[in-house]
Amino acid sequence: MFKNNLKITLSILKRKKIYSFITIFGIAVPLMFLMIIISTASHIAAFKSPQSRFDRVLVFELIKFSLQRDYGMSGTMYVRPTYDFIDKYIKPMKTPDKIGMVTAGDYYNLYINEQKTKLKGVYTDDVFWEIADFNFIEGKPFNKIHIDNSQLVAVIDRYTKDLIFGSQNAVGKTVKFFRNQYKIIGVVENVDISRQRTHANFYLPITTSLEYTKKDIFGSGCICLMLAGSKSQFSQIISEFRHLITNFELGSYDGLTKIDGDLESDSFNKLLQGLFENLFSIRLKQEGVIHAAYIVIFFFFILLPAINLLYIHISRINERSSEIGVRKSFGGNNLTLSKQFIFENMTITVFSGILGLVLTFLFFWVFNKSSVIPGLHIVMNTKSILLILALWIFFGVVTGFLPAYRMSRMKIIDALNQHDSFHYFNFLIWKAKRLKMLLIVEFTITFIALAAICTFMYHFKNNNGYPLGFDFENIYQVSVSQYDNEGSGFFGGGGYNEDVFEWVKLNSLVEIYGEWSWNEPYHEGYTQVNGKVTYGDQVLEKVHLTQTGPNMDKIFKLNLIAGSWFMESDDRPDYNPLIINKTVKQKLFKDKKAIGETIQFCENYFTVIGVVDSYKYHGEFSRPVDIMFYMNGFNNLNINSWSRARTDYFRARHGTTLGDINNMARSVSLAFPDYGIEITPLAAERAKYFRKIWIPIVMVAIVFSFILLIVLFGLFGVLWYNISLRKMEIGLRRAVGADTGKIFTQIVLEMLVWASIGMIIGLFIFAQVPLLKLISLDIQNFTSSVLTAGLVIYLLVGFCSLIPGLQAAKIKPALALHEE
Amino acid sequence: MITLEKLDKVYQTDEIETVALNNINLSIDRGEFVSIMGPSGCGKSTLLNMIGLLDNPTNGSVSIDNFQIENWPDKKLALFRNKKLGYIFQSFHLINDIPVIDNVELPLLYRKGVTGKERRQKALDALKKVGLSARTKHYPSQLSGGQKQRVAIARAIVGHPNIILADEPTGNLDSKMGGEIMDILQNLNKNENTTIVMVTHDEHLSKQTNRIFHLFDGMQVD
Repeated sequence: MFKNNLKITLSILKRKKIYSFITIFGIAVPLMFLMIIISTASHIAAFKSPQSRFDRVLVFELIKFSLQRDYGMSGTMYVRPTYDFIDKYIKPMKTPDKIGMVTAGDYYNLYINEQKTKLKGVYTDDVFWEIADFNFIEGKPFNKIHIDNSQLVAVIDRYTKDLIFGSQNAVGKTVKFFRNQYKIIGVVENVDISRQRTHANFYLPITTSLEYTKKDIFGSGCICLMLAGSKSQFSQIISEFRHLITNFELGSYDGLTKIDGDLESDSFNKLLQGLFENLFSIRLKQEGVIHAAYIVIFFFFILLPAINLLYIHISRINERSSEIGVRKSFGGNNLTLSKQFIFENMTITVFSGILGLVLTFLFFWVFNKSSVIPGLHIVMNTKSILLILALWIFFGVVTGFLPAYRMSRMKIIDALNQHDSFHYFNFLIWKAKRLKMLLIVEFTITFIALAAICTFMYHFKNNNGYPLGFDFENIYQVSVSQYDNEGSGFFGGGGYNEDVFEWVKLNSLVEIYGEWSWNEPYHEGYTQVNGKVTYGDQVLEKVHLTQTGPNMDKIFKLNLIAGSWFMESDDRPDYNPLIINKTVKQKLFKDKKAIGETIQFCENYFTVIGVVDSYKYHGEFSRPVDIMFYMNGFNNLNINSWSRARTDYFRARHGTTLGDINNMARSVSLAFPDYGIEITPLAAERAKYFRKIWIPIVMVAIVFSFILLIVLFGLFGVLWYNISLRKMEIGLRRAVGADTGKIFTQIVLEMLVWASIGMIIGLFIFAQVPLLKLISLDIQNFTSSVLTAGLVIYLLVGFCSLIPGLQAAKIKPALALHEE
Repeated sequence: MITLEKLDKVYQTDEIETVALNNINLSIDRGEFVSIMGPSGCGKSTLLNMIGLLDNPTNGSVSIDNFQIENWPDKKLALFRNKKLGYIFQSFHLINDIPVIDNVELPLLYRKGVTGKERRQKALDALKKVGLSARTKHYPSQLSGGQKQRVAIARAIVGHPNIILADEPTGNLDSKMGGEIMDILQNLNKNENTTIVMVTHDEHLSKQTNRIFHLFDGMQVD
């Protein structure tokens, strides 16, 4: 019987190629997406080494300071608790089993054979090693004695060990990290990037850091980890922590009016937030957003595919009702028929599942190999495999087992005559009205999603039409930061050294050299004037500001349309020269000449000496902004800054290669070993910046393509089902004179009407975005996006209606009428 | 061999009650060739379905080979149909997705103890009897109407049932083809002593049978 069932199944699959393809892919593709989502999520959420015990860990990551200080630093600030704060106030807590700490991580440039490798290092205390369970391949972690004596010992990961020592043992050898030579006492197995509390390339005792051990509660902070005896003790720990925070002695700290903080466990939501923030700089603030995402995932990735496939299966089985009648007539009983149809549907599910699995493995293989997200190596674990198996069975049962079981119970006469066989599925399928509603909802959501994607695309396309205003080829960016900088932190000073910049500036490869602060090309964040910029009656707000110096116009080939650029001689105490861009000129001066005029902002007067055409520092796809340039060295400004201090740029001499620049970076690093020095081509910075923008957009586009695919399957299934139901009606229409073309047009038009209703609702919802000014969209973008989304949907509907429409058109009137 | 006693069939919907068969009493002996005649909608096919155990009567009883068929479980009923009955339908009801030989083998699939080889041999024999040995690998869609009905007959006889039930077996065929099908049925009846019950509109065909059973509005009229 097995052989026979298999033979029938294969022959049916072979003979109905299109339907077989659609059915198999209809299960395989949603399964693949589900497998990817589940595997990734469970990989991220799994409490595995070195975070096996982290289900019992509470994390104190941010402290909220309310400050009122004389010199302008006032308001509310979220910062990490310092070593000093944790040591003094948190460590004495009684309820946690263990309290440890680890820094968020700093980067160190390690040069091996002239090759630079960027390594992530963290400082930890001894308890950290008792909370985390690292897999040591050599040596052991540092302990309390090491911490108390600030001993220069280190633990490194396998990657770092292989990089520095190859196949030799590492324990006992010394390596320089940041500012000190450390003796290696342990080597651990590599830690996946998703284990964000424990991931690093090297681990150092926190007491060896100058930056993190400043005796202050304001400064560079750590993440405090509290291990509970069991999860049930969380409430006691939180209660003790709340008591401690609310009764904190504010008096001894200058300007501190209140402190607050939360203890949270590393829930999946929180991990997801962390991952999004790290990867895309997107902070998912509200839990509601995440829950909404779960609902969307459930609806689009589980419910919709299941409903759509159900219709395809029911239509497929219903077409074979006559066969069921014949089999029953000749001795097939309910059980054997159930077995046969279940066998068929399970075979399809198994094929689809295998295909889905193969596609998933292929995806992860490519993902892990290509290092799209470096350090993230996703492995499918038992939990995710079990979940996938459960979903697989769910798809198999809902879409295959139930229709097959019900159909096998059909009365022979009904089956033979195909009399109203659909009533056997009443309990499974949606009534026509609800079915249309579902389809309309699918169209509405697809339309909104497509229109949103199109809006982004048009937005980028339009922005790309405005001139960038600067050159990025053969330009190199120089950034310097001092390792373990004692003065850095919340109220600390900068960590750069003039000598380093001077050293680079004098190098023979450098043709022109210049200095820039704030709003540098392809840098994230922005700096704006805090307040109004005025010229007579004209007022401008939110004007971007950059601080730069002589030569920058030549380095970046800025297009100066009036006046001149800064010169060395402009740097004098009684003179505030200013260069503006074309939009600022037009808004403040209209048709008047701007050069030589004085404008006011931040309680200072500035003389306009030049006008540049354009400077879109956030790149080709950003919108032009109002921007002004002022001369270096003038720091007494009230600005609203989101970016870090000084970055220098130089244009290299003609013929300079990247290898020459790397050698130069290496030699300057050797000359200044306590500084992290980066000399990178601006073109590479540009590519990196675009990656950050494009990766989330591409991911969103992939997800919506999938949703579109699901909607297509849905359309196909529903159309097919609809035609199966209406065979008699179609037969009758044919009998009274409708030709095949008319039937085809009718089927396609009906679907287009449903699509139009869905799109009208979608348009109404989408129109709220510009109407309520939720996002600043220009009307031209809005119209183009809506039209494009509409066109795409109509084309897809046309495509999906093609096969069922042709099938309907082929219905022979006599046969259709006879069957009914 | 076949006995129907006080047989009623009533179709009931929420609003309408339709009496398809009313107090039918009929007895058919082994080896008889009986035709059921009557106008459209008089209940001919319904009666054949009752005899063929494809549908349950509302009242009355059906007995075949001295077996009283009443409230039999699905499995027992299926086995009985498989061993005792063979069906020929007006619209052939062949499975389009499998070749002719597999269509003919179908009843034997549901019979225990028949090997694949035996099945194939019996199916070939049945096809030989209806003159279709050359078409075993064809699919039903590649055959003419007459050929399809021959395949249907081969399928009906492959399990050597005692009774063949034919619902307008020539209804979809021209008179020449119809004649050929009728010859096959006559041969089966005469040479293999198979009991045949046939529903037909065609008086010319019914005259070739041993007995004609007339129905009108669900009632016996002779």
